[in-house]
Amino acid sequence: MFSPLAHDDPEQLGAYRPLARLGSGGMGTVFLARSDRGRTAAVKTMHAGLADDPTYRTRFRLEVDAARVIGGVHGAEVFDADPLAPTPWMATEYVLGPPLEDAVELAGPLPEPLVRALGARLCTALAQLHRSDVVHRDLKPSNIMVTVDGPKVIDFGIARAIGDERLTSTGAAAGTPAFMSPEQATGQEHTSAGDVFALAGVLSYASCGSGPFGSGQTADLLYRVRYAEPDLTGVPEGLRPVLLQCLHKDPQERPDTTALAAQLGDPAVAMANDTGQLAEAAGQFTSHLPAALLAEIGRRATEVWRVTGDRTTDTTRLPEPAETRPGPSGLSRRRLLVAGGGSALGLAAVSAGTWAWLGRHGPWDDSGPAGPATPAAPSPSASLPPRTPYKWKVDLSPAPGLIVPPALLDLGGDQLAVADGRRVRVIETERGHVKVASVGTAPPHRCTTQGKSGGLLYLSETARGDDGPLTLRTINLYGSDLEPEPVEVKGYNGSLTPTQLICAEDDEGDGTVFLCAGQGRRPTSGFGFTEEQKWYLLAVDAAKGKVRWRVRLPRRPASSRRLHFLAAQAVDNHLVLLQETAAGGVLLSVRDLRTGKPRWDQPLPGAAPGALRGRLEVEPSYEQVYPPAGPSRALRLSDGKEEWRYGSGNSRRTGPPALTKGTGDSGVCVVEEGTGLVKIDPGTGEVLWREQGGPPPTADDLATPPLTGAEYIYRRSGKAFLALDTDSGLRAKRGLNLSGDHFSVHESVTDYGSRILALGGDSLAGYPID
Amino acid sequence: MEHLRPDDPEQIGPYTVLARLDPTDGPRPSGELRYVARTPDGLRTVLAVVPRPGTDPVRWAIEAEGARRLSLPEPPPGLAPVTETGGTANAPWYAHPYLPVLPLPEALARYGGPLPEPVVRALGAALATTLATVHAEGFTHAGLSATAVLLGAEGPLLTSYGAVRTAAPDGEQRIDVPGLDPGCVAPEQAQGGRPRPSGDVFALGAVLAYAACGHTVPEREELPAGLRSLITACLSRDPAKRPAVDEVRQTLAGRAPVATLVDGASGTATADALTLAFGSPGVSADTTTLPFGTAATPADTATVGFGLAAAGPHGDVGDGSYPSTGAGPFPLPAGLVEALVRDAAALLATELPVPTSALD
Repeated sequence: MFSPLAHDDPEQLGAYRPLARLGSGGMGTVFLARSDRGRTAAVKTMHAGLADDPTYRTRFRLEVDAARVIGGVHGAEVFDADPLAPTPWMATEYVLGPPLEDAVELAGPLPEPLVRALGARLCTALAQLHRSDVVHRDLKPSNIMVTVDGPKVIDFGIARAIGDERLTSTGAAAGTPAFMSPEQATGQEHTSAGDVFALAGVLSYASCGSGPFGSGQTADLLYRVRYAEPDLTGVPEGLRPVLLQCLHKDPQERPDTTALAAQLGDPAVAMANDTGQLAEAAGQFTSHLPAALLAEIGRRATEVWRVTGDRTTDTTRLPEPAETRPGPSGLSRRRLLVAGGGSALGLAAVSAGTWAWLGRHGPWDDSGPAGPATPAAPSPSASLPPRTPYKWKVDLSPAPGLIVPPALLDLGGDQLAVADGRRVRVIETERGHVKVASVGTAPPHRCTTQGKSGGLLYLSETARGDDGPLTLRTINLYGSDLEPEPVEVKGYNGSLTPTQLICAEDDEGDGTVFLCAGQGRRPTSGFGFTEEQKWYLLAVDAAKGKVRWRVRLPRRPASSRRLHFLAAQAVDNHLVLLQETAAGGVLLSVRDLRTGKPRWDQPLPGAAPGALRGRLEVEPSYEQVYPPAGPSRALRLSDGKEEWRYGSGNSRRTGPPALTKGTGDSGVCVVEEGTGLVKIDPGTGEVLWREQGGPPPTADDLATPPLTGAEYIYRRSGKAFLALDTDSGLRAKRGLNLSGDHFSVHESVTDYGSRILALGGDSLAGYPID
Repeated sequence: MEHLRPDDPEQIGPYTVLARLDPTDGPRPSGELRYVARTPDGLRTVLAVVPRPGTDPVRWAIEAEGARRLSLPEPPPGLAPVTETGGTANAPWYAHPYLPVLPLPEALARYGGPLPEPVVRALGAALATTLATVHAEGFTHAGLSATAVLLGAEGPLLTSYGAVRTAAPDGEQRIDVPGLDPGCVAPEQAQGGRPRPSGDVFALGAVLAYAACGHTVPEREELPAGLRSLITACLSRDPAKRPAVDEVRQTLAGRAPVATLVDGASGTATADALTLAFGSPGVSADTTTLPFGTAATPADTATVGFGLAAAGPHGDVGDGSYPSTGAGPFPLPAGLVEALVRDAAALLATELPVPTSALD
């Protein structure tokens, strides 16, 4: 929900001081901010580049006007605004509640009385706008916040006065295709009747989880909006007639807001419309809210207080360096806190990498302000280098309800696929240009590639409804067809959200994709597992959808939030897997790639699953896998035998390993407690070099895997990364100061140089490395 | 949250006081005086706490410092962190970061009566975890009472660390002391005994009794059946008869005490699951037998499941059953969530009063 401020975000906007980013879109950024008298607000600004364009400035001013018109009851109260400032800004009430879109993802389709209550109040809101000759033009589920006082409409980005000609289009149809009216779709005048059309679409979405014209490609949607009958399957019977009326292609045939409110029949609102006492009627609104939604609102009401911003002058004392005091039974508190009874290593890792099912995206929500939770005592010898400028930055808008962090998949040829839950994009790594804006809408855990070459991306889009087909698409980014027909993997339920594509393998063009798929009904909440479902690990022929082999997986309890697999790699004829147990344990296992027969497995006790997602270091040339948790060691792929173990006999902890790449000696790098980076020869297990004289790593430093570039290896030290020469281990003068939460190295195939990819709460940045 | 009264302070340490947390004449007076307060630059809002008149300030400040150290580097789950202490010898204070909360008596008042059993269970499990963590560090909380429990959207936060120790030194009776809730003080502590972990368990029983039926000295029959024996045991006059806090936690969290659990199969191995206990060497056979399972005869190729070892290599509970703060939503009744949200919204919009000198 909250992301850290970027280094170039404003320090002050009027009396308001930004503390965190709430979101960023095409027009500008919204910040969580606090005034000099302590009032918390959502402050919306325009991107600096757009402020020079008078068209955009006018739009911003109109947005401020519209927000003032709708007022604080139906929208977010406007506290202050300066549309004429060099960077225009507007400060409004920070609304406590999820957008309707998130609410439906969280609580499922909303019950009919709630939909009616929402609808009736939204009619009042629209009526208020229309009375002042303002039309909304972009009403959609992400613009409507669900609060204890009813819905609040925010974001009037393209609202304009009825009949206002000044913003006659640049040729582009504004508005969201899915809720746009037919007259809008054809570029005609959008009147208040068009807002009613959109409202009906929103209510349809609220009551059954999808809009009346579905989703999909813009061109198809616009066609359907104009010509097709609305699809109200799933909408309660009682609501259909009135919504259909609102969805009439002819604006004149649609009811106006008063008539609509009457038909939606929330008596409290009817009374309020008469007496003007909507505030009293509001008290009854909470009685309609399902528990899950109310809990989410409560969560947001609590979370907002935890944001302190990483640029505030900190007047509290910094916590003293960690001293875990063992209790009488020899247990330390940190151990008690970590699931699985692991070490402090586990604790830091959990807070830095945990993702929850619903409504949260980003470690921000779990760990509080400013990245990895435990504030490290600043080391006396390391001074923070100046912030490293990124080469490029791409905004992500991770979907609510993301189960895993956005996925970055290396497609080869300096291209990356980025799946953030809303869509899958392809960007090139030199300049961060988006090469393909959307290759489908599969969530991150349903996308995979087969490795660094070939440019093949495998996607499986979640089927709608309770029981849809499991389909798979193979997209060749070097080919011409970016939307090939999907193949069906028969016999599995493609609507089940925990379905995963875990890895792929392409031997002689005979692509196999490994999946985790289930049979059985989707739970009523729409997410997660049921006890009756059966889950399997499958090896599937990507071209035909035929299952080559399958293995039954353990049942998950219905309340479980854990996906089965954390990571997987196909190497030679081994399938290396990192699995998560229902109880939160981690298991490393290897199976025969062709047959699925188990070769060996090894539990990793004390490991925190969230931190191990995507981490599997396998070295084919040595035929070894290096477990991502526990003591640093090498296990033989064929039988799991331990070929070497680092530091046996000494009790210093080590962090997750990373393999070096590129020319020169290959090595396994780990961060060691007290020392820093250590590079180990994979063949013999001997130390090639140890970092000398560096600042001792904190628990967070230990838990962050090293970043291995061609010339330097980077390891975390507090807020910075130290760079050590790959071959000699000597520390380079200049370290890196990066913002973000998850880091990885992308090796370039061309000459411009490689990148460190930093995934933050809502952005991906590419930093240059030597 | 309540409006300030004429005798409430305007300033506590660097913080400007905005509101009171507790009503002046509520059903149960709070042990300490708690205020919502804000830094002059508006950036941070805290709960600032000062001792009630009649409390020994020196002992109170010692306990506050103890709570501050206990909060480092991270507070035990469910303990309201003390991030700052200050003031003078006679007028000490401490501060918690602000979160929207209702003191437990306020919660019952707003709810209109005792809380439903599932809520009481969840409350007990959370408080028991907090106490267990404090005990594992070698300390006794000695301050758990109804008003010391601040109920937030994510569960309870425990304040008032060391209130019993502050009330009187060991050896002196702790009866009729301002700010001490007699129903929550174990009899041996009321007589002057040194507070020990078993006293925390007594207090936990009293708080749960309060939450479940509105007072701390219930008749057995008043308690909900599912909690009757547990609460009664906690309230035993003889400390030796009270359960350990870990046992309370496990009973309330509904899990069997540390034991082998079969993944997903609630105690029985199914015909097509094959399970391994954690810590055993890797198995490459297709079928195996569990001590209490049946031999697996899978129709499909071998499946892999995992059980949990009784104790991980660190010798402590390895089954992840401690409810951490992220373990799922606390079942707070809707009316209370709404009350918290409204308090939060009001405070978000509230501004610091303009200093009178600035009004010229």
